[in-house]
Amino acid sequence: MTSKRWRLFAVVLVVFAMVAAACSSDDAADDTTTTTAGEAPAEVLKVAFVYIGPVSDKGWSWSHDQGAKALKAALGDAVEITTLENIPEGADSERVFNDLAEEGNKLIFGTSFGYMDPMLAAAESHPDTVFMHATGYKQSDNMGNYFGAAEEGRYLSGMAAGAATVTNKIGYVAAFPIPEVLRGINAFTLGVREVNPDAEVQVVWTSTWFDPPKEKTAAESLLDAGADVIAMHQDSAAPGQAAEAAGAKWVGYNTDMTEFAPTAWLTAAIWDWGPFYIKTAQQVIDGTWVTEAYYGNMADGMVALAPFGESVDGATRTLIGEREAEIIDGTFSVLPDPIVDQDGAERPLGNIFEMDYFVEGVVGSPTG
Amino acid sequence: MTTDAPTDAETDLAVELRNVDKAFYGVKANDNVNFRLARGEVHALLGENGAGKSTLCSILAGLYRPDAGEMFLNGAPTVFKSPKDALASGVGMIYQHFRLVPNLTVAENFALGHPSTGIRLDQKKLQEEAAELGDRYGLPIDPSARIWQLSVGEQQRVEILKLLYRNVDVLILDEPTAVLTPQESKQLFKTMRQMADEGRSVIFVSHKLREVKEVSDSVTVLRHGRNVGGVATADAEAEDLARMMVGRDLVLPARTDTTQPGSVVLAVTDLRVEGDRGLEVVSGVSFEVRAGEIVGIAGVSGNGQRELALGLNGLRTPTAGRVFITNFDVTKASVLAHIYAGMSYVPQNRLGVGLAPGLTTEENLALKAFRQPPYSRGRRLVPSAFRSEGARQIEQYDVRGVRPGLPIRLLSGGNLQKALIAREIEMGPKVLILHSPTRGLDVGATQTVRQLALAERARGVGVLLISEDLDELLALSDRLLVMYEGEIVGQMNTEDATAERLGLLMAGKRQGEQT
Amino acid sequence: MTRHVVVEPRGLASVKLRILVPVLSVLAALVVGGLFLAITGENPLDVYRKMADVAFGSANGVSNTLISATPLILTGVAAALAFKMLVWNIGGEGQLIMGAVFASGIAIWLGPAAPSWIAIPAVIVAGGVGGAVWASVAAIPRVYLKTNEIITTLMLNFIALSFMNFLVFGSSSPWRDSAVSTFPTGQPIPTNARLPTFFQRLDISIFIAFGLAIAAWWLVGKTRWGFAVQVVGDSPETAKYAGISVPNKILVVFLLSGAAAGFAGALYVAGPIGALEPRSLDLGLGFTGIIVAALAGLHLLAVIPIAILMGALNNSGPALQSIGVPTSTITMLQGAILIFAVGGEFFIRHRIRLPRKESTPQEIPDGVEVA
Repeated sequence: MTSKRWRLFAVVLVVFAMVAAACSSDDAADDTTTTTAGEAPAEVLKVAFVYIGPVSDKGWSWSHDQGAKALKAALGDAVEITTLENIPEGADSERVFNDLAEEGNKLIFGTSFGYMDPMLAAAESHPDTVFMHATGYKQSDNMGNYFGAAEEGRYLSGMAAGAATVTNKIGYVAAFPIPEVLRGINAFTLGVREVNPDAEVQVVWTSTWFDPPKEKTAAESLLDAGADVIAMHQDSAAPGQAAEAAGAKWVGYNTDMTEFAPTAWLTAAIWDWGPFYIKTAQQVIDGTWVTEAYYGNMADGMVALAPFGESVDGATRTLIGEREAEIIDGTFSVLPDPIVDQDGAERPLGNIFEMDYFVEGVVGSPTG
Repeated sequence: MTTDAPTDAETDLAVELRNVDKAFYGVKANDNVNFRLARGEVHALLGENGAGKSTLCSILAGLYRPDAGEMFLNGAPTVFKSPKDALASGVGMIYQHFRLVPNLTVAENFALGHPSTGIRLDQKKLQEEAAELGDRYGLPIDPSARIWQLSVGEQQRVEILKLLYRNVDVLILDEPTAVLTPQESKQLFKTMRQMADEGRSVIFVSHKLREVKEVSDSVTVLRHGRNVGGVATADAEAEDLARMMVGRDLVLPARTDTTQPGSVVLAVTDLRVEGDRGLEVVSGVSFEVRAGEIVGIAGVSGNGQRELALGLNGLRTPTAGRVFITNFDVTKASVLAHIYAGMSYVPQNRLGVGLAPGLTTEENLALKAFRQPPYSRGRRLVPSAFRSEGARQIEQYDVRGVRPGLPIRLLSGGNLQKALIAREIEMGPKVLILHSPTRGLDVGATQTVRQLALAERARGVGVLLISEDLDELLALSDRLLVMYEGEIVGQMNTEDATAERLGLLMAGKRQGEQT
Repeated sequence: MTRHVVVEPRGLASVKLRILVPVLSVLAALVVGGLFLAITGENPLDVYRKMADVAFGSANGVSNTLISATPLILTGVAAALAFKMLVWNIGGEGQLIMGAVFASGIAIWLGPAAPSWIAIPAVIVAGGVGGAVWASVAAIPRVYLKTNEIITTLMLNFIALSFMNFLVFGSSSPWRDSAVSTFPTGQPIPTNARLPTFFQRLDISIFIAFGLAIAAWWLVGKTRWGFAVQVVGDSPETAKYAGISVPNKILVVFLLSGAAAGFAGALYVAGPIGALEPRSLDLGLGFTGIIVAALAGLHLLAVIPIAILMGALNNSGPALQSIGVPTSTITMLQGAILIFAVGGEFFIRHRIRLPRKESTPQEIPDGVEVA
């Protein structure tokens, strides 16, 4: 055993620990000064956002970051904002939520489903901090959740897709066969068939939220099968790039992704979290926040429709505009009750949060 | 014995080293070495393996820089920054491992690194020059041949001509004859003489006394990194040089008595073993080795000796025949069963088969015995036993250069072999197979190895000596077998054997066919 | 006479050097990293203070560092053990996943009624078995058919990952939480099978990881079997010659390597995660283990501090983000620290000198002495 290299690293570690010890004592002093400094003027609410992906994804995480920016713009010095990106779910995220709470953040948003249990654990040990979890369902005294009716936007984007298809085959790249995604596919398909009753929506499952190469491959397989419009429930723009390359059309999701595929772009259901974040922060500042499961929609602005691409004609734009107005004023429901399922049978709509079937016009299996 | 350097006038010295020190890993490879090389001489650098010859040459060639001491080139103090620098000053070296580019032609290798080589190569001119140079020095070479197509001897010629093409004044040849046939060596010596006659200086590194006597004008002898002698070759007898080299009177041990061999310890009947390609290369070999005798197997390498040894050790299961170690039939037994039955084996390939190169000397000494006390107790190793047993064996078998914690591969060839034989002897064998035990070793180590073999014989071990070295076979063996194309083609008592008779058998002339 | 730099290998480095060099290489990493931070507009002192504080500055920090280090210790041991034997098992990732699948499977199968003293050992053993079973898929063909284990273990990583995704995302297997329909998640492991925490969020898996690393070190370094393994690792031909069964040793080491990675998976699901959660297990822990093993020079004990260092670096990332350092900067800084840690090794193994010309030549008589 000639290598005694481990000694070296033991030493590295000791040095690291010594540096740490030396620095941390300073840090403690610093901390006290900053907190006292922070308390002196009017209350500043420290707000933290935790994202699963990189903000630069221009998708899900980016949309939340836009909301964080809107919050800062609206409340200014009354809030101090920390954003953390690329935080994996599981053990890492629980640590991060605890750390954020201990650093004095009083309102923490977690924007991935898998943060639910870690947030719940952190909420339990930090009862003075408000935790808000997007897309989940578990609650506690200081943890609420929020999400929005993307299906409303999806119905409208389906209308654009239905008008655009020539082959009457629309491909849909979808992440996981769960109620949220099934809702979106169904609303989209109903929108498609309102303007084009002959069109079909072919679904391909990727089993991933964010994996650009895999999403691209899935889109290409749909294009090869004759689809000339690609829709998606994914976080990257890769399906759109595949559509652009094939000369097809594309319905995006999450944000305005026109720049990734300007020719292919039709429109998309997009998120605007800003108003909700501002409202929630204000409630925490005012002391009026209570646990709730908030479900936003187009009426309150959490869900919106992205700007149309150039190829969407005037008539379609007008038609979609009329439907949008009806959705907002509550006179049109995108998911009717009863509803016609994949086999052509009429059935009660049921609880949309436990939806497990496809509507007529969808090709594929709702169980993956 | 004191001698003056062969040349007196300081100005005639091509190169001089004064008080040069060089250490590696804290071990002095060169210790206060002085070396004087006259113009127009062939100067032999003589010493055992590890005496510091290669280090001294590498200093001269600019590869190493001395820790202390001075170098003078044509009387002027000089420091070489690199081999390139040395070459520019007219000092070039041919290493034991050639530094040619295998995929380039001879001529292209000439051009490589030559200062006059521009971006474009004038292939034709280069080839003409190369061919002409070869003819002039009696080293004919095809300049358009690619290096990989050439034999080792031819590659060496290319190296020499390459230096001559660079017009060096001092050529250093590190053990050049090690890779040559006797005929090629003769031609090389002629070339060396010719270069000396032209006023160049040649340093000839060797540990073969006969060659040194044959070709050199003067000799510097190194031992343990120090220079112990500088003489004109004509003034010294081979025995004197040998004594200087090893530091004692040198007599290669030989068997002197004829003891009565004891019972049969190794019995082989009709043994058949396949070669690496699945062809039978040992074809029905039968012989016996008795306690207290050395049986030699002579033969040109590649006639099944290696496979015979593998078959006898269980490293390759024989396809037919029987092998008994004392009373135990080990024909199909595992290697471990052979070891426990009393078989020790010193393979031809020391590092890589006989020894684990990356483990320490102590660990290698325990490579077979680690399963038993004192090395292990139950399933646990006893590190203190590794240390104490290791220290004892290193001392007892005179294994030099061992440094604690460092891998055994750093030892010289002789010391590797001593460690290997030590371990095999310490296993207390009934049968000891030695395959080319002194190949590549210097005289000192050869002496030790021969002594150990004879001592084992005296202890009653049956020794099987597989070798190509006829002198060694004749000096040590009680009986001799000759192997040719996988068969035993002759056997005789050593008293009846001559080198000539063995040579004929080794060349495939059967005993019956001799007249 | 121009000076030049000479680089040459060194024998045994002095103790002084062994302490000095790592200290200097860490300092150098901090200086270079600091310059880099300064260029990108950060205050290096703030950044370092934060990193150190997060990793070791508080009880919570130490606890979190050790939580992150735990799986890396075991995947590091897995890689070091195999690589020592020249077995290129890069399937730690897949073996970890299969360990997690087996461990969570047995926990769910035993159910909430089983007492902890049965459930916890069962979970850990199942993890080791799962890793070893998965390793055997590559190990057996490697030993008996001489297949290339680099390719097989790599492919098995993908298969294991797909299998886990299938169990949770693509089927209604017992591993999937049937109570949750909104989103596919892993079935929580019954609390009786969860590893008890003893300090902050730190559970006993850290001790198990330490114990297994030490056991592996003892096995290889202190036993007869381990000595044979070392011989095989150094020279299989020599091992065969010395009567050591080479295929047997390779097979066993390969399986132990897989078991170590499997233990990592078991401890991770029974510890901090609490369920077979694909998104929490697909973090490249098996691959990071290879880096840990390489940095540790394949020394089975050195794996422990290296894994802790890696855990600390990992955890410093989010903390630095919270003081506004971009993630890309953090990644580069972490890389710089690792590179310098490795670079320091070069100075331990090599000597760099600026040779001087000897100034006092003296006349030496040309005499010779002969013994």
